[in-house]
Amino acid sequence: MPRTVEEDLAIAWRGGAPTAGNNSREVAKYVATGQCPTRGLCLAAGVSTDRLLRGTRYEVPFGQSPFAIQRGRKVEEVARAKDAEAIRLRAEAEFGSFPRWGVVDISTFYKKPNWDVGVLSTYEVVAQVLAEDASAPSLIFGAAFAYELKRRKQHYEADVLLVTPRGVIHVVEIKSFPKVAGQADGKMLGEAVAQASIYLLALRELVSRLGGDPSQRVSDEVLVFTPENFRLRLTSTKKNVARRARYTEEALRLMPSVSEFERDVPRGFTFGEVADCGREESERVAPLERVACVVGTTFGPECLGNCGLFRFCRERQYRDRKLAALGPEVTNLLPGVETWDEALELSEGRDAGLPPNLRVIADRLARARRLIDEAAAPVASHVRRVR
Amino acid sequence: VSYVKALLATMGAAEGRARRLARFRHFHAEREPLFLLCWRPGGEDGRAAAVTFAIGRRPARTIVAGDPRNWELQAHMLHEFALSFNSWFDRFASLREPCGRTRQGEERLVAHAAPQVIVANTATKKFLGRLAQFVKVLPPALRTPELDRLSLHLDFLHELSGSRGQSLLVVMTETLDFHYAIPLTAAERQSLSAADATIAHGAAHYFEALAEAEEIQFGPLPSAAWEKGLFELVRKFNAARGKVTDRALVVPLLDPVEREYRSLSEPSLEILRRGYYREAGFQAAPFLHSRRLEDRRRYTLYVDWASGGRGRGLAPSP
Repeated sequence: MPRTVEEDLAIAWRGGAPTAGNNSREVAKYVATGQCPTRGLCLAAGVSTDRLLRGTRYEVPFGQSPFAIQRGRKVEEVARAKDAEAIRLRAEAEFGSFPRWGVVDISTFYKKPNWDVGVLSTYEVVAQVLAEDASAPSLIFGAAFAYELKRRKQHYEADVLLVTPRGVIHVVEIKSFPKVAGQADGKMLGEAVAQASIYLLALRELVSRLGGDPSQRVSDEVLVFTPENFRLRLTSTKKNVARRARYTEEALRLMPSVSEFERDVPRGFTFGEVADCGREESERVAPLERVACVVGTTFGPECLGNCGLFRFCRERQYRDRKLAALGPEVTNLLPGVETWDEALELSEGRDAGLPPNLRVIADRLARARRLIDEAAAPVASHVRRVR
Repeated sequence: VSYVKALLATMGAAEGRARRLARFRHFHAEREPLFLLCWRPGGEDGRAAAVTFAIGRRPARTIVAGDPRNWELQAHMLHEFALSFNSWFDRFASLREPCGRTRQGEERLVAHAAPQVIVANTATKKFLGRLAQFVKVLPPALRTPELDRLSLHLDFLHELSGSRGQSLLVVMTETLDFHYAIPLTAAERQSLSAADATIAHGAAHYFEALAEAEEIQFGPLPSAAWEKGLFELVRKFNAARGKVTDRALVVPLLDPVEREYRSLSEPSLEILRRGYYREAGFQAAPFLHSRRLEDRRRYTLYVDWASGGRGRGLAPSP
C-alpha cells in the first residue's frame, strides 16, 4: 500500500529512534498529558518517549512487571475458557439470555504488525452483525481497527466486542487488577475506561462506514471484566464512557496533524539524533530542546507516568522558574502568574499598574506574606497569642 | 491549598528548600515506633511478597513469601509476620492506668501507652487494609488464630487512619505534607525520598537531589525493572521447592529472594527513620497530650474487644 506524505514525514522524523506501539495505550497517554504538542509530535512520528532518552539523566523507569504480565495472561485464559463462559454468564445477567452464543477469535487470523487480515475480518464480522445475520457471533475476541487519525492510519485491537441479543455492540475490556469487596482501583479503572473510549470511537467509525447507525448499534456502556476479590473468578463493571469518548474525540481533533507540525519542526530534525546512545548527552538533548521550544509543551502532574520526557520537561520548568513545576494546586490559585519570581513580586504588595485580575491575586498574596512574616516572629509572642 | 501554602511553596522553590508550614509537631512521637515497609508483586493487589520492619533504631527484619501467588506460601509468611507483629502490638495493653470513671461509676483503665506504626506513603496504608481483607478470605485450613488477629489489627489501624489527629498509624508523606509546603506536584510528593529531599539535602537546590531521590522505592509496588530481576529468582525458587510449601522446608531456599528485598528496603527504611526522628525533634503541639490519650483509650477499647469481648458486638468504631 503506498504511503501518504504524512507517513513519509513521520518516518523521516522518527529516524532511528525507538518506535512506540501504534496502539490505543499511546493515544490514551497523549490525551492524559493534556494534549502536549511535543508529546503529540512523538505520537505522530510513532516515537516511544519511554525509550527516547535512555542512557541520559532524564531516563524514567517504565515497563510492566513480569508478574503483572503473567497474571494478565492467566486472566485472559480464564475469560476465554469454555467458550468464554465467564463472560457469557455476566452478559446474560446484564442483557438477558442469548438465543445463540457464538464466539469468534479474530486475533488467531493475523499476526501484528500485519494488521490487514485482522482489520478485514473485523470488518466482515461487524457487517454480519449489522445485517442481523443468524450466524453472526455474540462475542468477538481481538477485534482489529484501522482508525484514521489526522490522515494517518492507527491500528487498535479491542480485547472483546460483545453483541447483545438486541444486536447492540458493547466494547469489553479484560483487565487483571482485582475488584475487591465490590470496588476496583479507581486509577486502574480510569485507565481501562480511557482505552475503551478509543475503541468505542474506532467502532463507531467502522459501523458508520458500514452504513449502520452508531447511536443505535454501538453502546456507550463498556464492560470491564476483572477478577473478583483475590481469586481469578471474573466479575464485570459497567461504565458509561460517552463523555470520556467525547473528550477523547475532541482531544484527537485538536491534535495538530503531521503537516501542521511541519511548519514548526526545524528542517533536518530527527528523533534518531536524540535517541543515539553513541552521542554525548548534551548533543542528544540539544535538538529535543529546540523542538520543545518551537512546538511547545504543557507540563503537569499527569505527565508523570504518561510521558517519558517528564524529567526533561521538569528540568525546563525549574530552569525557567515556572510555577507549573509546583503543580495545579498552585497554578490554579494564581491564574495569570507564570513564574515564581512574578508570584513573589506580587506578594510584596506593589500592585500599581497591574490588571484587575492580578490585583486581586496580589492582594491575597500580600496578605499571605503578612501572615507568614507574623508567624515567623519569636515563638514566645506566638504562643501568647495562641493562648 | 491556601494562598499561604502556595506562597510558601513558591518561596521554597525559589530558595531551594521547602519551607515549614507548622511551627509545632502535630503528631505524637514515640521513642521506638514500628517502621514498616510492605512489598507486593505487580498485578497482585493484597498479596504481600515481603515485609520489612524495625522497632525504633533496632536492626530491621525482612520476611519474604517466596512466591506470594501461592496461597499456602503466602499464609505461612503472614503467619510468621503475625507472630512478631501481634506480640508487639498487644503488649502495650498489659500496663494500664486509671483515667476517669465510666457512666456506671467504675474506674476506667486505659493502656499506659499505645503502639505506633510508621509507613512511608498512602499506598502502603491502603495496602494494609487490602492485606487485612486478604487474610479474611484465606481458606480455613490456612487460617491460624495469629493470622485472624493480624487481620483484626491491620483492619483497626487502617480504619483508624482516617480519623483526624490520630497517631497510631503515621503516614510519613502525609505528615511531611501537613508540616511543610513541599514545592512538588501531588504525584511527586508521593515519593517519600523526593518529599524528604526538598526538606533536607546537601545540594544548592533540592531539584538537584530529586532524580536520585526518586530512584529509592517505598512500595508497596516495586518498579517493573526491579521486578524483572526478582522474577527470575522466584522462578528458580519455585523450581527448587517443587510442590513443597512447608515453611520450615522452604525457608533455606528463600535466601536469594530475601537478600533482594533486604537490599531494596535498606535505603528506604533509612530515609523513613531519618525523616521520622527529624520531625520528632520539633516541639509538640500543646493539644498532643490529650489527643494521644484518646488514641490510648481507643486502643484499649479495641484490644479488649479483640481479646474476647468480640461476641458482644461490632468492633469499637473509630
